[in-house]
Order: sequence, then C-alpha cells, then structure tokens
Amino acid sequence: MLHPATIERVMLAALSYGGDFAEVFVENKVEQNISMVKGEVEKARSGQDFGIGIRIFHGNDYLYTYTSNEDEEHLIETARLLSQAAKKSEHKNKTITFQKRFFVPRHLAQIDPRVVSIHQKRDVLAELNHHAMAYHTAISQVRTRYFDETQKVLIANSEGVWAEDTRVRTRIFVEAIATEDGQKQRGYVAPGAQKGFEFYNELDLRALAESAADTAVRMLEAKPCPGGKMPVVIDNGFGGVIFHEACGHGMEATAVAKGKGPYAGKLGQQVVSNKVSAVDDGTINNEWGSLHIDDEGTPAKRNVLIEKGILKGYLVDKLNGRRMGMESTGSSRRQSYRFAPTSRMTNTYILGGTDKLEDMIATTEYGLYAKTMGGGSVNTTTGDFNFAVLEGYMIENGKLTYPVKGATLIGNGRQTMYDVDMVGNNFLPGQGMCGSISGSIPVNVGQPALRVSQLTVGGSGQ
Amino acid sequence: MIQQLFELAEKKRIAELEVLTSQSINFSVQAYEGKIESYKKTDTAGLGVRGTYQSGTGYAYTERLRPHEFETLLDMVKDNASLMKEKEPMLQEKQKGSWHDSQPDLTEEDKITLALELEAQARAAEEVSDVSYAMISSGESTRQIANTHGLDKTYRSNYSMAYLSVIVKRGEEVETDSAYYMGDLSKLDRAKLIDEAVGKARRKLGGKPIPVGRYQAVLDRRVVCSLLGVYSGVFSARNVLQGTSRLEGQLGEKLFGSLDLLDDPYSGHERVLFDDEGMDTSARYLVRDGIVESYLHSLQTAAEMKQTPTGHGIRSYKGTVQIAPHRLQIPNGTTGLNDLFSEMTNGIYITDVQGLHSGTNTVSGDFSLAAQGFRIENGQITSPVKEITIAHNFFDMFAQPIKQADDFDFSMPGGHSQYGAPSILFEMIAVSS
Repeated sequence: MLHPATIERVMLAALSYGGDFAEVFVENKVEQNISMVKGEVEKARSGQDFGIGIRIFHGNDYLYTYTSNEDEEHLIETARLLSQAAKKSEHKNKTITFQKRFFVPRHLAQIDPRVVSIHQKRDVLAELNHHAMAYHTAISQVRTRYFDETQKVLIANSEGVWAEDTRVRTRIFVEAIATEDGQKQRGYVAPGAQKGFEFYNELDLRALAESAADTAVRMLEAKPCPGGKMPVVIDNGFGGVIFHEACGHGMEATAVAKGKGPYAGKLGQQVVSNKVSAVDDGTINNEWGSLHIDDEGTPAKRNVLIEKGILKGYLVDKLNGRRMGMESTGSSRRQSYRFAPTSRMTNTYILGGTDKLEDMIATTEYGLYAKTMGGGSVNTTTGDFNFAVLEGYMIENGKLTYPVKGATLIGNGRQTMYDVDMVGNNFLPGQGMCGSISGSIPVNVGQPALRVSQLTVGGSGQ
Repeated sequence: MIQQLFELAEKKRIAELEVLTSQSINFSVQAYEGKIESYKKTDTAGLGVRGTYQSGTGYAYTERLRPHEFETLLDMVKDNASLMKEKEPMLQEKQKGSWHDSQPDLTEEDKITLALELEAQARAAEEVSDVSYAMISSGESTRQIANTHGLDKTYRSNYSMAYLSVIVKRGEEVETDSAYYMGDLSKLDRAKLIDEAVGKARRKLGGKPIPVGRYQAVLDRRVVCSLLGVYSGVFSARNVLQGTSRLEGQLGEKLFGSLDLLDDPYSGHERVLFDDEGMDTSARYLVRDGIVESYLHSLQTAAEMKQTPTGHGIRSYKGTVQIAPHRLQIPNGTTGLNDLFSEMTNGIYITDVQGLHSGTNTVSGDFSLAAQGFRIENGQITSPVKEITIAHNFFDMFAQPIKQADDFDFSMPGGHSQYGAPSILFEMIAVSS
C-alpha cells in the first residue's frame, strides 16, 4: 500500500483549489476462480486488481477520479487536475495528521485461501459435482464454480481518518440441470461467507449439491404457474430478497436524500405492517455482507430500519449525510476503486416472529408457496419491484398440491409490506450480489417465512 | 512490455502465451439543480494473459503493469493450467494490424455546459418533478491482442454519449423514463432527447392493470432487444456442448418460423474487426427463414465440434474466453408501427419490462416479467397499463409467424454485445395482474 507521506501530498493536491473534504481509497485485490463442468475443470483464472480512487467534496457535490498508476508524481498531478476542475480559486492547505483507526477483528479468515493449494479448491468442486450428478438419473449436467478473494483496502481522508482492512471472502456456485423428454429445468445454490478456506470444512457439501439437484428434478414435474392476485407464502433464507427489493433500496440515502422513493420524509411513521421489524447489520461475525469498516472508513453498525412497522432509520453515507443533515451509518460501499462509494445494504433482515410455516400453508385456501427465490429488482423512484420464484408450489385448501414453474412476483414496496399478515419463527440468512450505482457488492438477505395476504403472481398457466 | 512477457514465459516453460491489454480513459459529468453534482475522470489499464503449460491452459491478469509483477502473473498461469486436462487452442497465424476509428469530441468545457443545459431544459419540461440523470460521458479505449505465434492486432476507438433520466409527477403518482444519444455531441438535438425521455415517462402516468388473460401483443423494439440479449446464449456453442442449450443437434432445423437473425459486427455503435482471440469477424446469419444456420464459436468450441471458427471468443483482460454475439439483429420490417396496431382488436403494446436477470430461464426458454405498456383497442392506443406481468417462452413465440414493424434501431450498448430489432407483433402472450 502507499506511504502516509505520499497520501498526505496527494490529499493536499486534491484540496489545492478549495474543496472541504478529500479522500483517498487504495485497493489491492487478489482473486481466484475455478469453474467445473461435469467433473472436469473448464476454466481456471486468478489475478490482481489494483487502483487508487480520489474523491473531493465541494458542499454537496463531488469529484472523483481513479487510476491504476501508483507513481507519486502521477497521483499528485491527477489529484491537482481534479481539484482544478471545480473552477475555484487556488489556496494553501496546512498539513493533515492521520489517526489510525483500530477495530476489533470479527470477520477474520482462519485458513488464508492464498496458501491453500489450487488442487484442494478443485476438490471441493469435484465433491459437489459428484453428489449432484449421483442424486437422480434425470440430472444431465452440473456446473460448479469456486471463488475466493482477498481485498486489502486503505481509506484515508482529510479529517485525519486512516483505516486499513483485509476482507477475505469465498463462495461456491452449484447449478444442476435436469432433462426429461427434451425439457430442461435448473436448480441452483450459492452459499458464501467472509471466511477463508475453513468455510468448506464447515459446509455440508453433499446436502448443498443435492438441494440444487432436487430443485431441478422437482421442476421437471412443474406446470406453468397460474397468474393473478393471491396470498403468497415466501419461505426463509434468500426469500428475504423481497424486503431487500421492496423496502431496502428505498431506505438507502441515495434514494432518500433527494426526497425520492416511498420512505423519504417518513421517519417515525408506520410504513409497513406492524408484524415487520427489520435491521441492516454489518457487524455479524464472518457474514457475507459484513464489514469491519465501510468504504469511507466508518465502522460498520447494526442499524435498525423498522421496528414493528415504524420507520426508524436510513442507510447513510458521508455525502448524502451532508445533504440530509445526518451522520453516516457505516453503510457506504463500492464494488472497487472504479466506483465512488454510496449508501448500500450489508446484511439486511426481517426479524423472526412467532408463526409456523405449516400454519401459514394450512390457513391458506388458494395461493402460492415460494420455497426458493431467484433474484429481483426495484425501481426506487416508483417502488415497483419484481422477483422470480425458482421453486414454487400451489396451495389449495391448506395443502401443497403441485409444483409450478415460471412464477414472478410483482408489487409495490409501499403496499406489499403492509400486507404481511404472518411472520415465521424459522429465520435463515441467504447470500447474494446486489447491483446499484456503486457497483456490485456482496450482501446478505434473510428472513423467516412470511405470508403476504395478496400479491400479483405472474405466470403463463391457466 | 509484451516482448518481456514472451521472454519470461519461455524461461518458465510456458509453451504458448497470449496477451490482451486494454487501456481506457473515461470522463463523465452529471448536472443536478443547475450545478455539476458529479465529475469523474478515470484512466485505467489492465493486462490479461492466457498460457499453455504442460497439458492445460491457465489464465491470469493484473492491473499493476510493472515488470516485477510479471513473475507472479506467469506463476498464476502455470498454477491454473495445472488443473486442466486439455489446452485451449490459440490463433497460429502471424496476423498483424492496427486500426483506429475516431469520432469528433467536444472539449471538457463544452461537455460541462451541455450537461448543465440539458438538465435545466429537462427540469423545465412539463410535469417533470426531478431529473435523475443528466449525464454527458465520453471515453477512449485501446485493445491489443498478441501471442507468441506472431499475432499482434490493435484497435482504438472513442465514444461520446448523452444520457437523460427524468421523473414526472401527477398528483401522488410518479413515473420515470430515460433516453440516450450516442455519437457526435455537437449534433445533439437536446429538445428531441428531452421530448423522448419526458414523453415516455408522461405517457405511463395513470397506468392500470388489465384483466388476466391472453392477448395479442406488440413488443417494442427495446423489449425485443432485451429478450435477444438474454436468450442469445442459446446460440453459444459452449452452451450447446454443455447441454444447456435447446439448440443442441438442431442445426438445419426450422425452429423459428420465418425469422431472420443476423450478427453483423460492422454495424451498431462501433465496428468489431476481430474478437479477443484475434480472429477476424464477419457478418453471418444464425437463423435464416426460421432455419438454425450457425452457432457462435470460439476457437475451442469450433475445434471441438469440427466446425469453422466464427470469431466470437470474447473476454476482458480479467476474464476467460466466453462466447457472445457482436451486433445481433432481427432485420427491419416493412409495416408501420401504427399499422400493426390497426390489426389488433383487444391487445397490448409492451414498452418496458423489468426483472430480465431473474425472470428468464435461459435453459427452458420460459420467461415471466414485470411489464408496462398500453392497451390497444380496435386498432388504437387507448390507456396506459402497469402492474402486470407478461409470460411466454422464447422458442415458442418465435416459432409462430411474426409481424415486424419498420422502426428498427439498436439498443443502448452495454458490455461487448449490442442488439438491434424492430417492434414485433406476437400472438397470445399471457398477462397476469
């Protein structure tokens, strides 16, 4: 990483034409990817990302530049040109004294993936492949992928913050394809954590592979999902993507600062069903979406978003915090040095309730049980969201009757969370990647099972 | 630098090495409430290599372009290659050349002024409550591909773009839409761009669901392009070989009604003269008159299937060779869009879909997507429609005869591939609400 004296010179150059805040973000990331198809390694790649991002604030506006060239001369010139672009007058700055920020390490890797042999990583894929292929004769294809990254970041700013962290993450993907009579269906699992290679000693690889294969095989029997408005029971884990899309994005300062979206100006008011409480907690040990410090160097926190239906807080970064007159909540994130950071989610959960999944199904006369969810998206301006059901079953007279494919759930964030009438006691987290203006970042979604009394289900069935 | 790498590779007993370098300089400004809210200027470079070691091929990349990093880079290649049973072929021809496509560009000063003017003018437009993006961006990039067999090709190009996204409000209801312009910014017709974004957003206001059922539907060209983007993977020989494409064993079969589907690398926002393995590209039909004529190949899949390479090996310096189309398009039709509507008694015109990354199954062809659009009654557009989903199957919808409008255009470029299509009338798409 760069020397403090270099960073100080770069920062002073960044403030040489005014500006009331400057920040330098240095990133060095090493990653490994291996993909396997039917038991043979298909591609193996590794590499190093490296770059420096410089950001300057002028009140509520910002300037950003990045470069992969670490020469001090070049960095100073880059910072000076950026500063000049604001068209303010030249002025002298004093020195900046950095204070190193310490934190209790909570997300450490026990086994550094960089010292684990590449053949051991391949063996994880081989095992997953074996169990998925062996699960059922209908499984015609299995694709698996292994991924690990070690991201070192240094964040320094003109307020004297000096924060460094090393983030180690690993994840595997298993996709199973089942074929029957020319028909193909897929099942998919992708667990990840902020851990080292020890993650694979703790995982039940067989159960994971079989659950992906099971979804694919069951979906071969599925009929097209009937469309229309109906109650929907969304099971735990990745089902939490509903809150992520329907509410979470609307609570990011990116949406709120300009008075946009359904939650702007609603603090202290009821915004969802009083059965729903939700948090965004970046501090959970070793979780996929956790952080010691965010990408502005602010320590991660547990932020209460909703308490029994009442809006309690937003997710705020430094720049939008200025616009809103609020402090940062440790929620500022970016994919890499190629993005200026902004308010994003970490691990976002609906908290567990007291209802049982079987009661949710038993008390539903006609509706959909969404066992496994796919991804989704939201328009933060209108609050309209959509997401896909990977594995679903129709509920008729309180019983699961037949599997359905091709179901999509659509709705409006304002309304859907008011319509939650049962919250389960079977909380489970799920991992995903969230894409937005500061890039694609690892986040956890999670929830217990929920029942929404009425949602629009899209499908081509009758 | 490349020569240094080649020499080091030889020392490390790497039998063949291919190097892909990419350099880009980008600039963008966003105006908000009369000020420049965001100003970004970036320069980056990256280097990706692919090497043959023993029996396999390994990939590695770095963004630290310093000779002392090359040692680590090539050790990664060897390490990764050691997992592979078979090597990927590389182009063994001494093809060399350098090409440069250049577009006129404005000064930075003028781009800033343009962003400010665009934002002010858009904000003043009828029913506009906010401007999400009034952005001017431009960039220049250079791509070089070279290997130890004597291949060495370079392509340099630049682009300029204006992008506008607005929020309109009527009572409590808000809607949003966008428009973009790519090309010589000195020829940008601001009013036209604003009219497009604002017009598209305003006409959505007052949208309501329509009853569940099956409707004749015209999919706007933007929606057709989106679906092409999602389902173009079925033509990838890699997916065919891996058993995840419905087109396996279907070359020469009439699966797509009367559809023509063409990949023309010389059209669209910029030419693609050669792919990322150094292969020259050419225009080719993937589907002609409904018959599947060709898959998309990389050198590896062509060798494996004993077919002619098609020049579709695509990678970034960080990635591995993937297969993707360059400028995939459904040719223009001859019927006016309004004439298509006039054939419909109770139909729907779909202008927007959401959830493309999750609501589409590329293996089965099924999709179910959140959608917005307009009702078509007795040949006329009547009222806006929203809060519905449309569901169909990609293979089934193109297996039927289709009617193409004469409004062909390319979609906004994103990533390597760009798609072009006219609006198309399909029979009986399932609508839920």
